[in-house]
Amino acid sequence: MIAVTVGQWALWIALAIAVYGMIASILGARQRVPELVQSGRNAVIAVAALAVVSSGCLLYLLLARNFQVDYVYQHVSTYLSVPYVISAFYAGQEGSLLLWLLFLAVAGAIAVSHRRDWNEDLLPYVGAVVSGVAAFFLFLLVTFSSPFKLLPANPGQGIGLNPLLENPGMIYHPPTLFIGYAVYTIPFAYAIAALATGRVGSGWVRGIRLWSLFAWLFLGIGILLGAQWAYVELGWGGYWAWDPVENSSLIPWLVGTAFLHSVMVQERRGMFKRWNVLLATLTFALCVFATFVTRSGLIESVHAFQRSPLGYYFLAFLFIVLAVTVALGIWRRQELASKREMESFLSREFSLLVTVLGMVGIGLAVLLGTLYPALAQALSGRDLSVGPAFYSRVFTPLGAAVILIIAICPLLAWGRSSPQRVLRAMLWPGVMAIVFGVALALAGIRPLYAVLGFAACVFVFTSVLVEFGRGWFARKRMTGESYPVAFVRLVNKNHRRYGGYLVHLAIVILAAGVIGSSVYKTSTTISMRPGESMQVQGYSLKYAEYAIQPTEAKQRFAVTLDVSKGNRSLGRLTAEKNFHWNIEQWVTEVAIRPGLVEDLYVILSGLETNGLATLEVQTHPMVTWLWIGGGLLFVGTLWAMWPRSEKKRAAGRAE
Amino acid sequence: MTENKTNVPAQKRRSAKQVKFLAGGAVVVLIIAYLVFSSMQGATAAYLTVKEVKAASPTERLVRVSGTVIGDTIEWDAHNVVLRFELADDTGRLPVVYKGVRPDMLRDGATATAEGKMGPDGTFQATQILLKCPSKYEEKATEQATSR
Repeated sequence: MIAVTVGQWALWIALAIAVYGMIASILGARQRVPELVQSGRNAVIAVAALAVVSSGCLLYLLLARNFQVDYVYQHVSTYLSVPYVISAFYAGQEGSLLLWLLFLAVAGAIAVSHRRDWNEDLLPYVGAVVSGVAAFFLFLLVTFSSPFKLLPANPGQGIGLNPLLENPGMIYHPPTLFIGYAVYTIPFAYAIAALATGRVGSGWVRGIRLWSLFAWLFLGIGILLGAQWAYVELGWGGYWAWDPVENSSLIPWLVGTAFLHSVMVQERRGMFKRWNVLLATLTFALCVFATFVTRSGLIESVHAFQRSPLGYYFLAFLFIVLAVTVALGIWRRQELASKREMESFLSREFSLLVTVLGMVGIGLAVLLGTLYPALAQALSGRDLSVGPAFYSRVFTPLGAAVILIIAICPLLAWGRSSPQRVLRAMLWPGVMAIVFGVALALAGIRPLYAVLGFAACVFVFTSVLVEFGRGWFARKRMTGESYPVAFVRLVNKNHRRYGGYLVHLAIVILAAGVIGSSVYKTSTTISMRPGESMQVQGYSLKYAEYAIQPTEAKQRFAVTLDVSKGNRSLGRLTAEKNFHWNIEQWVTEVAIRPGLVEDLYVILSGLETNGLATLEVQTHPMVTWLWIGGGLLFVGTLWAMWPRSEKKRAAGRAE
Repeated sequence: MTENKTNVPAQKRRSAKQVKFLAGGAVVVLIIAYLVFSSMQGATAAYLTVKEVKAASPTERLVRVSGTVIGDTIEWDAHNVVLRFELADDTGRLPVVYKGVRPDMLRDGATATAEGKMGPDGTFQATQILLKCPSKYEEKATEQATSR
């Protein structure tokens, strides 16, 4: 039981140190006492070390299956396999908060250890903000939400993980998302530091570029991993159901996207300073809000945790975050003013402003839809819910507009650009989009808005490729290098630009996947006896075998089909519907045959003892495109983040 | 929204040019706001009690009704994929029919929310069923089923 004591005490000591660290950092910076500043920095590192110790203790208790610890009893059983025992760390509220703290503290320790000339004045305040946020989570962990609470006696067996959570998604999705949430603390901390010191120039936005890309990447990939999980889990309504918990993870990503773009304007033109401070804070606040939605039970969701008083503390914390930023912003309003004015609608600045407004607008719309039921309940006492219809009506036109901006924005120059040049650059993408759209329409693809959507995707895709090609051929002409060499050197010369282009391509692929999968889904219900064959949506399904057997954890019901299309065999699919003893509940395991064009998705809805099976056979077109787009998003963002070697950077400066 | 502050120079002087960009930004904001508020119309479903649902005449409008599932009344026709059950709240009992796969968590005592319309035969035609599990499981303890 030493692990319980150590883990609990580590949290208490960390709380004391975090509070001290916050005060020491601020005092040290304001009174110019280097010793206090250093001490505040050490405090951030100490909190990180203690968070690691405490997390290690919880992990040890889980792996040792010490059921006297309530948290272990709730989430682990003797027959749960080790990967899921590890994932039980964040299966409950207490462990999730500890994980948040762990990522936040480690990121904070790295941030304050990264001392450079440009951030010497900012770092004490960064440390203070990190300590303050850590103190909030530590306060929750030692008071309302301790993972180290003990039961009076050891029950000998735990309840175990909900079988719905026994999916690889459980291992990858929550930590990825949490890294994104927690790391967004660093850009926020820098924004506050910039306001506190009055150094709101381009230093801080340049300094946090890697942090914000890193957090954005993890958040994005986390959302996609969650979508993938929801897709294979029958009860969660497909990869995206506009559920409040899903929405609340998307909102900070949308606002974070706006932030990534508005930062560029400050770096290049010294404008948008207010936007950047606001967006850094908003993104962080929305990450906290997302954690809060999952914890509070305030909003009806299929993924929510039980209702708890934690919600009020989260609300209070959010209020403080926003109030501090607004107060500091008003105090520094002189410094935040732009030194330069916009010159033209046809400029990179203005198109980026539209991008920012669009992303924040979509984010706020989703937020409104998510909060509307709670607001309506509070204001008028009426209970109501907002359906997916709202989101698709808002998202479709705004999404299309944002996608088109992706095509236009990179073509525009800073300051102003000539309309002729822009029109010329849009010629080939326009031709391709029209040809493609007409071809689709002639091929009988309907409805029209889907055709338009695909044509828009082609327009953007081509325009990004044309931009690639333009740079590539120009380099080849100028340097006389061979095509492959010119290509590699080109993309290597400007990681930011070409990484960004790759991400733009990824977004277009994602958009195409979303259009295809939401418009062309089919569903057919069939009944079959063993040995029978059937044709469904062009697939021939042969009922190969079935199994009804009890195991230690469940009563298993399974049907295996041989699937083929034309003469080509596509292998076997086994769809299951199992009754789990420990929760006395049915859990359906769908069978999926993924494909580039469409996924075949089979649900077993009933199996009688004589083998008569009822199956729901669905086709989900272009879902695979989402995962491909996600992969490309990952590669592109990594490329944009990849540092150039010092030598090359020096050479680049000399050029 | 602070976009109208973004381009204002420190000196209170606003050139005519800047007003143009502010207007441009404002147009974008107004379009988004219009979309959001117009889309909200008809996209919300009101929660009603069983009594209210029964009293309401059949309309095109979606409503939601919550209650406890009565275990004895669950009829699952796996052949035709039709689920029938009754929901009960303080105001009465409501027969519900749902054409779709039986949600795993549907059982006696579970709290269910059905979204749909009242049919002419006095049966609630659900297009979506949401379930909250009464067990000790906290996470993911609810489930959603949507007829596809």
